[in-house]
Amino acid sequence: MAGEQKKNFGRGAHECLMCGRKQGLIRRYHIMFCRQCFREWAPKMGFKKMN
Amino acid sequence: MAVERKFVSEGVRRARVEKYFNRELKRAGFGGMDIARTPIGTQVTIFAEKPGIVIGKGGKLVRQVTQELATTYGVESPQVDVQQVKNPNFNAQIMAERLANAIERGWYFRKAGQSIIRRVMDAGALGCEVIIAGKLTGPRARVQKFVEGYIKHSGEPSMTIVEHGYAIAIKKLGVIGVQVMIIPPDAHLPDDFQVADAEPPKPPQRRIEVLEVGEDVEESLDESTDVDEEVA
Repeated sequence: MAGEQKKNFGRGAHECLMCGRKQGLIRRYHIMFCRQCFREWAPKMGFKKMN
Repeated sequence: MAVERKFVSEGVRRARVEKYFNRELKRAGFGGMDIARTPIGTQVTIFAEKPGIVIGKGGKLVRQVTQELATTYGVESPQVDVQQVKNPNFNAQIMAERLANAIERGWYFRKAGQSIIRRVMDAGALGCEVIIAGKLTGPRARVQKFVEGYIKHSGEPSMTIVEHGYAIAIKKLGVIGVQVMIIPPDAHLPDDFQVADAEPPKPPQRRIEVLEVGEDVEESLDESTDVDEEVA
C-alpha cells in the first residue's frame, strides 16, 4: 500500500494550493503556496514590495 | 485570529478564486472579478464578455460555480452576480485570450498581434503593447513585441493605470505565451496636466474716503442705546 496512504504530517502532507508542488512551500500566515506561485500572485493578494 | 492573518487569508482566497475562474470560464471571456462582503453573504461579481455562457442553461453553470466556491474555496454563502464587460477592447485579459485563440487557430503571429493592436487603438486606447513569446517560426524560441502609443513599464503608474493580461496558446510544436498591456482612454498619466486659464484682472476697487465727523456722534450713540433699554 506504499504511496497510497494519505500523509498526515511532515513535508509530504502539505502542497501548494495552486499547483500542487511540495517543495518550497510558504507556510507563514497559512498561505500554503509554493514560492513560485506566491511570487506570481502576490500583487493580487495585496502584497507589495516596499524596497 | 491575528489581524494580519485575516487579510492574508482573504488574499489567498481571492487568488485561488481568480485562478479557478480563469480556468473554468475561459470560454465565456472571463475578464476580472470582485469579492465584497455584505451582511447577507459574500457578493462575487464576475465580469465576462458573454454572461450567457457563465450563467449557462437555466443557471446551471452559475449554480455549479456557487457550489464550488462554497465548498472548496471557503467563500461564505456566495452570491454570484454576472456582469457584461462594458468594452472588451480595453480589457487586457480578454484581448490576451482572444489573441491566444487566434494563434491556436493558426493565424500568423504578426497578423494576429497587429490586428489586436489595431482593434485596441481604434477603440480609443492611449497605448497598447503585445508580447508574443515562444516558437513562432522554426525551432528556436523568439520574443516579438508590438507597441503603439503610450505604455508604462516601471514605477507606480505601471501598476495603477496599465491593464495587464496574460494567456497561453497551446500549439502542436509547443506553447506560446501572450501578454497584452493596455492603457485605457480615461487613464490619467502622471505627466498629463492642463494649464488653467488666467483669471481676468479685477476692476480697480474704489478708494474708501474717510469723512470727518464731529464729536456729537458719540453722544447720539449713547442716546440710542438708552432707548433700546427702555423698550426691553
